[in-house]
Parts: sequence; C-alpha cells; structure tokens
Amino acid sequence: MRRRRSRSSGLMEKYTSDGGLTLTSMMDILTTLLFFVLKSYVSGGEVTVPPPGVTLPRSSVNADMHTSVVVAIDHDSIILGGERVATVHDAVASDELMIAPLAQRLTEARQQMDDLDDKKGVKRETARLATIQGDADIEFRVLQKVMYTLDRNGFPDIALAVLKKA
Amino acid sequence: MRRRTQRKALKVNTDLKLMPLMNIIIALIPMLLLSAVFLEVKVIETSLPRDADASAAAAQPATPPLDLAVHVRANVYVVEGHGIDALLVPRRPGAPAPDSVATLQLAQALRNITAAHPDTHDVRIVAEAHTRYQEVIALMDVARAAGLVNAALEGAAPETAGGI
Repeated sequence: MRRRRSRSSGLMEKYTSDGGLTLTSMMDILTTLLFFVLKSYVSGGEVTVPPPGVTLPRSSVNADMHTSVVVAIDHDSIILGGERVATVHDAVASDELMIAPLAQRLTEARQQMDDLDDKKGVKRETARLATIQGDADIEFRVLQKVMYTLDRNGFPDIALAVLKKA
Repeated sequence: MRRRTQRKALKVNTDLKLMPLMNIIIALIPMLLLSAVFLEVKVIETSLPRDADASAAAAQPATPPLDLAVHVRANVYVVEGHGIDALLVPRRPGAPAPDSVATLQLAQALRNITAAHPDTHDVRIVAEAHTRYQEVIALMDVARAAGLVNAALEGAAPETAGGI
C-alpha cells in the first residue's frame, strides 16, 4: 500500500507543472523579429523622406543618396531645405529659365557652405551636389528650370531622387 | 523526516526569468517599426549638357562624336546621332511612361547602337515642355540598361536657351 502511494505521488510530481508560461518559443520569435527590423534599417548613405505630397518616380537605379542640398518640387511649390521658396505657377509663367527666388536662396546656401569650409580649414569645393526630389507627375519644363537654376548657382552636379523599383 | 524537509527547502528554481527581456523587446519592436524607412530612395546622377563638350567637339577629332540623342516628340520617340539613321519608335501621347512595346523597341535600338559603338556611354534625353518627369526617368532607365550610363537632360528646341 505504501509502495503504491509513493509511486503515484512520484507520477504526480512528474506531470504537474507550476502553472508558469513557457516563454522560450515566443522569445525566439521576438528575437528573430527584432533582428529582421534592425536589418531592414538603412545602414549606409543618406536617409531621406520626400516631403508630403511628393511621389517620387520609380527607377531601377541603385546608387545611394549623398548629403547635399535638397530641392523638392511638388504640384504647387518649389521647396529648398524644407522651406517653400517659389511656386510652380510663377516658375512656369516666367519666360526666364532662372527661377529668381530659388537662385537667391541657393546663392546664400552656397555662401554658407563656403564659409563653413573656410572655418574648417578645408579647400572650398568648386562644384557642389544638389538633389532634386521631384513629383513623378511634374512637367519637364519645371524640372528644366530648377536644374538650370542649380547649375548656374554653384550646384552643377545634380542627383535626381527616385524610389527603387521592387 | 527532518532531512526530507531540508531537501525540499533547498530545491532551487533554475528557470530563466524571461519576462523583463520580453518587456524590453515588446517595447523595442513597435518603436523600430514606427521609425523604420521601408522606401528605398536612390539617386540618378545627371547634369546639363556642358559648353566644354561643345568646345571639345569643335576640335574636330578624326571621327566625329556620335552625339546620341533620344527625342521625345508628340507621338514618337526619335533616336538619332551622327552617322546613324534616325529611328522612330511609336509613343502613346499623354502616357506617363513608355509602354512595354516602346520600351522594348527603344532598348533594342539603343543596344544595337552601343554594340556598334562600344565607346559610347553618353546620351541626351531631349524632352518636350509637357513631358512628365516619370517618362524622363523611364527613358534614362532604358538608356542605362543599354549601357548608356551618362544621360544628360535637355529641353526641346522651342523652350531651349543657354545650353539646356
């Protein structure tokens, strides 16, 4: 009798858990997810988000973005460094290729960059890079005028921002 | 009896305490997902046609440069250059980008040209005022796929002035 009782109490001990959750498998899932999310972060080049209202065109190109002056063009405005400097309507209405308000702001930006280079004690760059974030639907004449204005105001190297095709 | 009680008291729970780690990870994952940028922004480096190119061309080398250009016209793309016959590819007017047939024909034409002139890497995309930006980018993609990696943008004649 005593032997039977001791055997049954041993089985009870073996099959009875303490009621805690088994978290190891969930930890595995979460750890994998964490690594995936960390890996999907952009680790190289410049990270940029187009301003609201700008849908970048899609392209198969694979070159990373570099730090530069950014000019965004949406349906209404031409934006330099996040600040609206001219309207598309005015730019299109003018017969001139140069967009005067944009040219003025670019000259100021260029001057600031040169001053910064002087303070750092490095040689001034003769040609600076500018990136255009244009909406896919804008007309070429607007892009043409922005590119011309950039070129004539010390930013002859121009990069066109696009979304990579899947 | 006393010995058995002592053995019970010394029993240690060796399970890892995972709850604090779980809490950290559960807080970290939504934060990373919210701040992650899943859109990959890339760039196409380009420039305007240079005056220096014109002066170099004026030096008149033994073989004149090809000066390859893809013109966007109302109903047609025109591929032309020095020493090659102009090639016309139908274009759907008002389309935001070349259709698949036009893309294939353009790609084939440009590949034939680069095969015949292996040193050619430059092309001018000559767009009209109302050409959509997406179409210009699509044409640059087609040219790049054919080996013409240096694409310069140029406005069509009526709006052109000062080298662009």
